Amino acid sequence: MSEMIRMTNVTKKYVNQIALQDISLTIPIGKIIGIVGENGSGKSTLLKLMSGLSLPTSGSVTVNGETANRRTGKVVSYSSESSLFYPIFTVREAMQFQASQFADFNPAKAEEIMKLMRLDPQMKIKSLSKGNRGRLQIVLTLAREVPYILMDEPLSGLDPMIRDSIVKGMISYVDLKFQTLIMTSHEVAEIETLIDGFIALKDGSLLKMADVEELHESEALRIEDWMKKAYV
Amino acid sequence: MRQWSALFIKDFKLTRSMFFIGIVMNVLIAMLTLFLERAADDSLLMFVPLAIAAAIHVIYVPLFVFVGLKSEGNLHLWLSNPQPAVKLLLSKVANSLLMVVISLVLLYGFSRLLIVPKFNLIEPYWTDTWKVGWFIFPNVIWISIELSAWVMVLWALYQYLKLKIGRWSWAAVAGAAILSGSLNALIKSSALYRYVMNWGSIAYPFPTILSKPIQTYVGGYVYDLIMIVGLFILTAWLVDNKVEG
Amino acid sequence: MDEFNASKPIYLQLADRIHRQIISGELKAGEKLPSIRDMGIKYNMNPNTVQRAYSELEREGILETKRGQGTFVPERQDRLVQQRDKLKREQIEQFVHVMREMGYSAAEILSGLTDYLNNAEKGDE
Repeated sequence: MSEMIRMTNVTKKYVNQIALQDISLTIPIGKIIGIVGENGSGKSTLLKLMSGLSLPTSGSVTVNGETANRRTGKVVSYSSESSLFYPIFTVREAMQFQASQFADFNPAKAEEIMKLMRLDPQMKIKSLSKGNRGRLQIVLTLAREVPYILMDEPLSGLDPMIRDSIVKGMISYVDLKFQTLIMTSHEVAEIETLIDGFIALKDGSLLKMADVEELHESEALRIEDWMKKAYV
Repeated sequence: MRQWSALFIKDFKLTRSMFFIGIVMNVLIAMLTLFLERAADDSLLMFVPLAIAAAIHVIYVPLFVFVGLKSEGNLHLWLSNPQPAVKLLLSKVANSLLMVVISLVLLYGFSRLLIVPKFNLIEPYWTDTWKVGWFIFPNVIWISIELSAWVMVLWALYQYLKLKIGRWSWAAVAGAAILSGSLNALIKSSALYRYVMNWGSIAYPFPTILSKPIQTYVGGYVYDLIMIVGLFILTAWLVDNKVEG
Repeated sequence: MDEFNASKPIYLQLADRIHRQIISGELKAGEKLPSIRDMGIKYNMNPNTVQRAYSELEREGILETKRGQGTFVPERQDRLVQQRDKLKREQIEQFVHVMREMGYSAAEILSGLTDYLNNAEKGDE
């Protein structure tokens, strides 16, 4: 059972500031997981630690049994709004570059998602609108056939139409038979029906990790309402 | 191979505009050379801007490598790349190297084009200037590579420290630069260094320009090479294990 | 999304919805249901949740899965008729239970229901 992301007593400090404290959790294959919490609660840091882009100050993060570091990029496809592709590239060039770097990048799938997202392949990335940049992230991230897809705030700040197309893209192109999708979101209501489970953070600590349906059954609450109660 | 060549092309694109600016500056220098050749009586004076321009090329590789690293933004994309850091860094160095060679060749070529019509003026020095070029250019490039190795390791150190100690990390890096720089100078001026490294002496005489021949040691280049490789490996290790995105 | 509430697990709500569509005839006998992925896309819903809803309905005999072909509403209707009666009985039981608690007699409930249905029918015309 090494097919999972495992965090054991993970603490992450930046200079003197504690971003995450004593987090232990495991995430198996085949799930869509939401990381939720207020701004500054450590959502993005948690995701980056899973990707190996960040390294824990103490504790351990393993992905499929191996300690996470930047080479974890082989089994993890990570994207965030701030990890924008080289602006001088066109959409098509960006797809070709990713295909050249990652053996698991499926060009046909990328092409298909690009069409679904209605992206113009000739457009320069620097001249894409915010919404289209979000769509490009989806194309580049989901076209990789990797066990773990990590997305930092893939839906935030986008208009409802684009959010809807991104959600549909996720459902269409993430294969839960062999993949897990983990995303952060500060708009929980939006992803409630999309996720299997959630990780709630508060001030860098793990408040709760549970199945969404469990919460519905045991407390008859939406995550959002539960959070309002739990965060007081 | 396709993986690395795509990386190389990507890195070329990232510093392409700076490369073209450099070429334009070379053209300007060549025009200045032509102007001086017309204005001044001393025909050797025209070589001053050329010599300065060639000397400035020692910062070419470190500058381009640094700009290349800066253009990776928050490093998410660069660090997520599955290739080992050695290859990622080598792509940037190789690009800068290619660019510095082209730039120097063009500088030399432009100047020659301008000088040829007035060839008789410099004829007595010609053989030596030609040879000086062959001596200076590889040495400029060599020093440039060594400097870029220092720049890369300091950059990686800064990336590592900024998450650990925050806003004073630049000062720590500057301190490390001064300390290691003076340590290197100390080693090079030590008796031990002279004893171990001053072998394989080669003299380059340029009688029409310089009164004394320039003396170099193969041992010195070997020392530099060890430094370059050592610093490069250290940088790659820092990127693979300590730098965060 | 808005159509689903927190009172009950989402997969059960989806199962109920499909069940109602079968009972109302919106989904006909022998009809093929959308694939799990397409159903997920339709409701922006996690495919695992859709899978659970389908499995639940299959367990109750309301849907059947043919290997390699997909999920269908069964051709045989007896099970469905049975389900339809069961559902009716459940709803009535619940309603009568509440009315009894509030002290209404059988005659009062019956006349009230008849009046209500007559009015509702008039409203429909």
